[in-house]
Amino acid sequence: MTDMSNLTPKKVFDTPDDTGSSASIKSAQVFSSDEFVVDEPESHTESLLDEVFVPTRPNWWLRFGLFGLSVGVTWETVSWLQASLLNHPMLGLFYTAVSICLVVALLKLLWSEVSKLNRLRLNKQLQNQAQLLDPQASDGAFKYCQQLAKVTGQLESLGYQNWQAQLSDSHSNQEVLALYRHHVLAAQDQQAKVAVTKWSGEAALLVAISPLALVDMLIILWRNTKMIEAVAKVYGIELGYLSRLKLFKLVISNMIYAAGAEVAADLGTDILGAEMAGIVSARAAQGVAAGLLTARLGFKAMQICRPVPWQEKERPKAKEIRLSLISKLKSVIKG
Amino acid sequence: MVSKATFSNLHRSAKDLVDRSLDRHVRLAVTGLSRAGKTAFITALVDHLLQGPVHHQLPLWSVARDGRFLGAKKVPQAHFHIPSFKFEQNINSLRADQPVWPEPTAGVSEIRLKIKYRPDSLLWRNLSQTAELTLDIIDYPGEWLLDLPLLHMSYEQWSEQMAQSLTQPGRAELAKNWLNLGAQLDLHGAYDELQIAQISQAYTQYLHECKAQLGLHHIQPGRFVLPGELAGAPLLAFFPYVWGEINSDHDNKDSALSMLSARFEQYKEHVVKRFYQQHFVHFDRQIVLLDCLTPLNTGRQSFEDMQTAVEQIMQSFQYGQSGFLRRLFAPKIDRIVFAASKADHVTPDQHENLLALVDKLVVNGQREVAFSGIESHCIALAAVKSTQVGNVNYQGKPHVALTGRQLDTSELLSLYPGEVPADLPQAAFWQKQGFDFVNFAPPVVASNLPLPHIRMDLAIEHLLGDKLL
Repeated sequence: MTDMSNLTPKKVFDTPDDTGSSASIKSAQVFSSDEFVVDEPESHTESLLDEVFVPTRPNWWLRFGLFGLSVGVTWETVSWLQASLLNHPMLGLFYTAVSICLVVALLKLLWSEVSKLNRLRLNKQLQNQAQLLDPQASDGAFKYCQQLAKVTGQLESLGYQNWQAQLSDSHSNQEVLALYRHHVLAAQDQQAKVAVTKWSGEAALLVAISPLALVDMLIILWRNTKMIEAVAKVYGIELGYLSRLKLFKLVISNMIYAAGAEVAADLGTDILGAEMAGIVSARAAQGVAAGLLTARLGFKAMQICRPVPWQEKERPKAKEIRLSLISKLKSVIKG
Repeated sequence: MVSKATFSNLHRSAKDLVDRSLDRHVRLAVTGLSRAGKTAFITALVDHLLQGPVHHQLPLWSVARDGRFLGAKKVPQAHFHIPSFKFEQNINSLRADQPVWPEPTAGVSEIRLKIKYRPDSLLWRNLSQTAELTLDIIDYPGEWLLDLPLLHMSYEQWSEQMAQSLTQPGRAELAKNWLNLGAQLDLHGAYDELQIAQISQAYTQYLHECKAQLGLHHIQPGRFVLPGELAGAPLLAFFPYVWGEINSDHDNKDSALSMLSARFEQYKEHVVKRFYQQHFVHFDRQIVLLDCLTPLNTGRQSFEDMQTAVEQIMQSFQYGQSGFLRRLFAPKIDRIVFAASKADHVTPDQHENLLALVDKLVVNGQREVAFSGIESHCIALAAVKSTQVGNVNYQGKPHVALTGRQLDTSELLSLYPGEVPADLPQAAFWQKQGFDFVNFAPPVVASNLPLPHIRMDLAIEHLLGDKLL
């Protein structure tokens, strides 16, 4: 039984002081209709690349340090050359010539690296542009596709000529782009897929026959490098040292962050594939797993290098590759 | 043990069976209000298919684009009692040295093609290298679909509705002759065949004038202006009674009223219902051609009338909604394309607006159609592209323009026809509208080239794409 005396009795609180709050309530206001701006819903059409391209906070300590270092090196070189010109004019001249050669070579290298990096950046811009085109309007898509063809080196290709032959002045942006996808991009995709199949197959095979785990890792690294280069080349991207690093970083981080869900969805079938291969041999299972990983990397590289984002049907599937991997390994191991 | 010969025999007969089951059949109905370009559409469609795959200009039709289209052939039609579509005559007039638009057709007509293609799906490709699709194209006037609401009405109700329609601007003026003649009719007296024939002739004349002078489409009964094979039949000799109240209580069998309402009932039974039962039920695919540009030129009344007509046409496809329609007929149509024709008469930058306008015209009906499980698309097309797009220097700046041969004078003309409203035009639009398009003559095309067009390929893709897998 509860003790009635413990229950809290009813309390009446003072009504809150409303003098303060009434001051903060805004009164009605009439605006002129010219000033009215309609709220546009924010679009969420970020490409996968955006997540990766988030600019990191600049490290000013490092920047100042590097800047100081380069100033110091230049200063030292110039004063050293000055001194040697004064002491031994002939030797000084020789050193100056050598230094000029080196500087020119360095600048050339830097220039090519930067332009190759820019080419990679341009890809992202092109992908964004494709999404900004108004599908029903009839302006822009033709110029955009021409630019794509120029950038990806397709101006001379048969697909590009077919594309031009089938265009008419009344096609809308959507139709122009659809035709471009079919005639030009589909051929490039096909080439890229062939490259991915080839390199992932080789990776699978080498891993399956290699005895050491360390060797496996090296093989995967080596094959993947080759494959990503091949894919980039298909889409007209030439890789330099920096841009290669950048692309690798993009592919890997895309694999890890952006494609987490995608990998999880496919993991079941991947394991199934490896298990099926496991019936044949444990090594074949390892090989298939390595091959699938390589293929997946290859598809991601395709996604990043492709100037226009995938449409639903165009996305390549790991399923096709899995079957070809298993049959390839089977034939090698049994034969 | 099975011998090799038996096995190959078995294989062949299995293949035959598959071929036969792959051999499929589509009945494609083409309709539209008169002058919407039905005849040109069918002629161009058949011509493109017969031209074959080599130099095709149908990139948006996936079958042709993927190189799976192998060719087409004209074959004898299935129903010999239905007039044939005069393809040869029409294509000759389009491909003449001085091309002219083909003669419009007044009734139903049909043509049959066999399309050969390579199947895409893996399973079928293994079973059979090629497949055939029989395509029946049936052309009928859209006005016939406007008669559907008559089925709900009695003669009295219909007369009342027609009397109301006379209040619309311009109509009473045109109806003067008919109204004068009909005023002398004694509704309850014994009927005089000659008098009724005269009045109904005057009524038909009035309907024709509504169409020609006011640009109206929504005309009932539709067969009066497009009688087809019924021209001159007594079935079409009736008219609504608009000269006062109809009192049918004390009426005898021989009176003019009973004759008129009997003919009205017969019209419903033998013309309206029969069309739905004989033709409409069997259609698989439907394309409705709409000419939105002419009403924009003609004016507000014409446009609003077309809007009403389109809404009425849509009712024919809403069979899932009403028990009445379902009892009458259960059509099989599972895809409809609404096509704004004559897209070549406006500049490409206006195609978007034209498409939006058609979209708005059919949006109400489309919801219901979608509910009935019918897929529908809207496109802007031109069966035969009669203009070239280019630029002219206008006040120092390049301005987009069309050039083509004018229909009436046959002279070259460059113009910008104005902007098409992207929304159903409101009252304000009509006061300051600057849209004025000119009819162009068909282009001169070399006999070995396909006819130029706008989005015919997309129309084929929407209508047949899923049947050619």
